Amino acid sequence: MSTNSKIAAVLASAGILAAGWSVGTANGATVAAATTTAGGTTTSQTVGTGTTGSATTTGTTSGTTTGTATTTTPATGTTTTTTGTTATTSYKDGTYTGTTAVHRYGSVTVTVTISGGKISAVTAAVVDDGDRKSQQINSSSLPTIKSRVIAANSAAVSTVSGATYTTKAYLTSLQAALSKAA
Amino acid sequence: MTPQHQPYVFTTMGTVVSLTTNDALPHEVAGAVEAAFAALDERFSLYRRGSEGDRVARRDLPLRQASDVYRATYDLAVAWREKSGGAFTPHRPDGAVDLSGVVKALGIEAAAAALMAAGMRGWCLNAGGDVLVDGTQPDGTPWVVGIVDPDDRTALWTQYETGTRPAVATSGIAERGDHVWRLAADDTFTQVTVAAADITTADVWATAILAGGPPTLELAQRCDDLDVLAVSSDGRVWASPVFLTPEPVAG
Repeated sequence: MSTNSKIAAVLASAGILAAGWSVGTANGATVAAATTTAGGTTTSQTVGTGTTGSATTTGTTSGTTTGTATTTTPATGTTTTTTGTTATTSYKDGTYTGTTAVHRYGSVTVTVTISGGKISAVTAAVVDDGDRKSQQINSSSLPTIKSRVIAANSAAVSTVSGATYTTKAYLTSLQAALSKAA
Repeated sequence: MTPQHQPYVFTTMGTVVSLTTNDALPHEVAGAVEAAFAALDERFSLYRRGSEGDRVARRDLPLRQASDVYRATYDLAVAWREKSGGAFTPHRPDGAVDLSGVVKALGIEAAAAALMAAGMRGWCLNAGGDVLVDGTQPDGTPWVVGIVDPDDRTALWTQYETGTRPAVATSGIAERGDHVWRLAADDTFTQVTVAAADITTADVWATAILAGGPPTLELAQRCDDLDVLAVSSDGRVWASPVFLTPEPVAG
C-alpha cells in the first residue's frame, strides 16, 4: 500500500513541522517559496484591535443560537424510545447510478461502485449548460503543482467536502446512488 | 468490528445532509438532528417568503426589531466580518442582510449538540459539503474527508484525515452569487478548504479566504489554528503540510 505509507509519512512530517506554506507555479518548474511563518500554536494571540472583542462576541452569540435551536428538539422526543431502527448493514457490492441532479451550471449523474461493502469508486457524468461559469469550473487545465498534493484514496474516504452549488447536485446524486446500494 | 451503519440522509437548507453514526441512530435522535437544521432554516431562509430572514432582507422588518436569535446571529456574522478584515460579510452587494454564510454552520453545530445530548459518539455529519465529525470510525481509524477537485468538481482530488480539527469546510467560485463576494482586488483563489476545531470557524474562513485572497489566508493563520488547502486560478496551490507529499512526485 504505497499510497497509505505516503499518507502516513506526510502525516508524520506534518506533526513535526506544524503549519507552513508551499507556493508553486502553474508549470511546476518553480516550487516552494515559503510565505507565512504561521503556526498552530499562536491561536490565542490576536492581531489588531477589535479581534479580541470579536472572538468574545462569537462565543456568546454562538452559544445563544445553539441553545435556542436545541429547545426545539423536545417536540420530536415525544415518541417512545425505539432504538436500532436504522439499517445496520454495510453497502451491498455492485455499481449504482444515482438520479441526475441539476445544478445552476448544468447537471451531474454520479455512479458509485461498492466492493467489500465500502465505496471503491465514484464517477460522475457532467452535462455542462454552456454557461461561462461552467466552462470555468469544468474545463480548467490541471496545474502540475497539484501533483504535490496527496491523492485521495477513495476506498478510505468517509465523506466529501466541496463547494455548495455543484456539491449539492453531486451529493444529491451520490446519496441516491448510495441508497440504492443499501 | 461494529458494522458501519448506513448514512441517515435528508434535505434541508436547500442542500443534502448525510449523517453516518457508529451506533444505530434512534428515531428520536434523527428527529432532533433534523429539527436542529429545520429551526434555523425556517427562521433564516431567504427562499421562504415571510421568514424572518426574508423579511429583513426585503427591509420589511427592521433589523433592530428582529428576534434576539436573529440579531445574535447577525452579531456573530458582523464579528466575523471584523475578524476577517471585511472578507466575510453578512451583506449582499445590494446591502441586503444575508446570513447564509453562518447559518449552515450553526445548523451543523445545533445538530452536533443534539447528537451529543443524546449520548451519540462516533459520527460523521456532512451538510452540503461542510463536514463535522466526532471520534473515529468503528474500527478506530480517523474519519477521512475527501476533497473535491477544483478542476473537475465531480472527482475527488485529495483527502483530509480528521484528528484535532474535526471540522472541514470548502468554498469555491461556484458559490459566487450565493454568499461569497470577492473583495474588489482579489480573485486569486478558486477553491479553499479549511479544517478547524469547530465548523463555524472552518466555514467562515473558507468563505473569507476565497473572497479575500492570500492576505486573508495569512490573517486566518494568525487568528486561528487551521489546516488550509487553497488553489488559484493560475494553478498554484497553497497547502498546509498535511496535504502534501514529502517531496515532489513525478507524473
